[in-house]
Amino acid sequence: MSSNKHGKRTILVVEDDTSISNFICSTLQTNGYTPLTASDGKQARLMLTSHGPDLILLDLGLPDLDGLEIIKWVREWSTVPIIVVSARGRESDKVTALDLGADDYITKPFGLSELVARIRTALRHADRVMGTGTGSAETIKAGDLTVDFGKRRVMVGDREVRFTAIEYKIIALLAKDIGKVLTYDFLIREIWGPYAASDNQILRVNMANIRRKLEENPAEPKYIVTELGVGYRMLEE
Amino acid sequence: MNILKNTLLSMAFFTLAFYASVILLRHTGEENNSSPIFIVAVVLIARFTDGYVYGLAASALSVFFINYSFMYPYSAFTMSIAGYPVVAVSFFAASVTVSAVTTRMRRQTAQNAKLYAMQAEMKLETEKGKTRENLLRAISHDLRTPLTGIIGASLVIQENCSKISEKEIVQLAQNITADAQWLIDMVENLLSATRIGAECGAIKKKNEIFEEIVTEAVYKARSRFPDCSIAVEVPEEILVVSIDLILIQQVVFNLIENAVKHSGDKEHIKVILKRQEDMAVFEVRDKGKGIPFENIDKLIENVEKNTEEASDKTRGLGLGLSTCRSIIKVHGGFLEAQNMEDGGAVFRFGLKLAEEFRS
Repeated sequence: MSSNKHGKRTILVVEDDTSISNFICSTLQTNGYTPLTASDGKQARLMLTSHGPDLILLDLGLPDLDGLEIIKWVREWSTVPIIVVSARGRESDKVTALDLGADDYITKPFGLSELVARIRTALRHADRVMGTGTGSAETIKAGDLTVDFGKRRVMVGDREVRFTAIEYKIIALLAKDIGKVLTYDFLIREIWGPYAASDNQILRVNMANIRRKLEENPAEPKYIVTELGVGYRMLEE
Repeated sequence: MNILKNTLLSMAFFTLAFYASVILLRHTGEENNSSPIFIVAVVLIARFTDGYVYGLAASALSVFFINYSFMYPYSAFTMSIAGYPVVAVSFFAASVTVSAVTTRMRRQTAQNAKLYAMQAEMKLETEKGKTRENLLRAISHDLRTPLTGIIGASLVIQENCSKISEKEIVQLAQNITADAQWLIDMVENLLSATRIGAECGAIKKKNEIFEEIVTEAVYKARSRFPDCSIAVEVPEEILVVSIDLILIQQVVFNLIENAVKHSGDKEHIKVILKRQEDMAVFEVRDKGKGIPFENIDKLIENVEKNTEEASDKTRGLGLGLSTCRSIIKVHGGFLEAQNMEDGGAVFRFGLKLAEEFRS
């Protein structure tokens, strides 16, 4: 909606450190996006309401307020994709951000290609959700992996892989939000219901079993990767 | 708890003495046997219970039962037996004396234990202090070198950008990246070290699936060192360990990084996770030049000692390995290194499997 006349997407970079903000902006520019910057929460709110960017890149550590507040505030009125930038070791921050409605996160220090890939995925995801009115596709393909929701079937190449009901549910959830991190808590709530114990061990043992059936080498997963301490992500393509 | 233990113990000794007396009386008909037997019981009770009460109670009961059950007339209490008061008094005297000795002995043992604990604590403190000192020395040296490199390279670019080729600029920028990357690793190690140093309570142990950590570390190593080849092997069985995720991840990455940087072999690095009895064991193998020391402690000691004149090559190895060692130590595991028969070295650490997953 807010693409400018050249068809370029605008991205709001909320970051208080100038040198980080600078290098992010020049990366965005060279990759065909139009960057906007805000160095604190107040500015960020102003830019958000006045420019309506296509994506927000949000550093959680802002001088005037907690970045999580911005996520809450934005989610009251907009589904614009938000990618959180956070420091390593602050896994709980990432989980909170995702549970509040952030779409993805990236950990400092990050590489440029990683940053651009995350932005592309988030934008594509947003387009898919906005575009197709019915929302859900019948099948999802990721490389050799095909998940057929209608037949509840999972194929790797020509081989059908059999899963237990729980394992299939996990795969289906990840496939429906392919490219996106789903937190342990989200998956547990979806599969075992809202009153399930928040202990994520059963989920993780299930995932280890899924990998043994799905992946060639479970230690080098190609389809579903672990975001340690946060959740799981099904990789696109 | 203590009262129960003392009472049961007293009752046991007393009952034993009682039945021994019954048997002896029945088989020999000799009445003088019961007194020494009960004295032994009273001494034992006074020795192994706390305070005076149990010994005295046992003495009173002994005096009564000797009179009542083991001296004529049986099943009757009489004061007319000759020498009976003397027996009574000796019982109480024996009991009090033994109880007093026991109490004093206990107090001394407790004092000794406290003293030992204090000594151990002091030793630990000095050890901690020494580690911290070594750490700080290593850090200041290690920080200066890459920072000098970064400043130098960026100054060259700023001041001479019109005179040097684009290729040279890229080269300088690559150096900056490498140095900064190295600094980040260093900071991660430092954070880990302070997390352990702070308090043992600071490490947060949770049940984790070991292979996920290995996968993550290998992924990170591959993107950091794209020109090296790392093979991974995990067991069919799912290994669950109770650990601090961030810290163990650090160890796994450090060991892989060491192999890449210091073994002289980037082609045959192999990472293996396996189960050995009730341990999960992680190994990094290489086919490089091996380590010139018989064990990991010697290796770390040597690297730490040579920090001052350390070359670029060994920079950071000491901090990395000694951090690994401390992390594994607070997890109650083992860390070792050895040379393999067919060349190369293996670095290995093991952690106890989470209890409910040992079957």
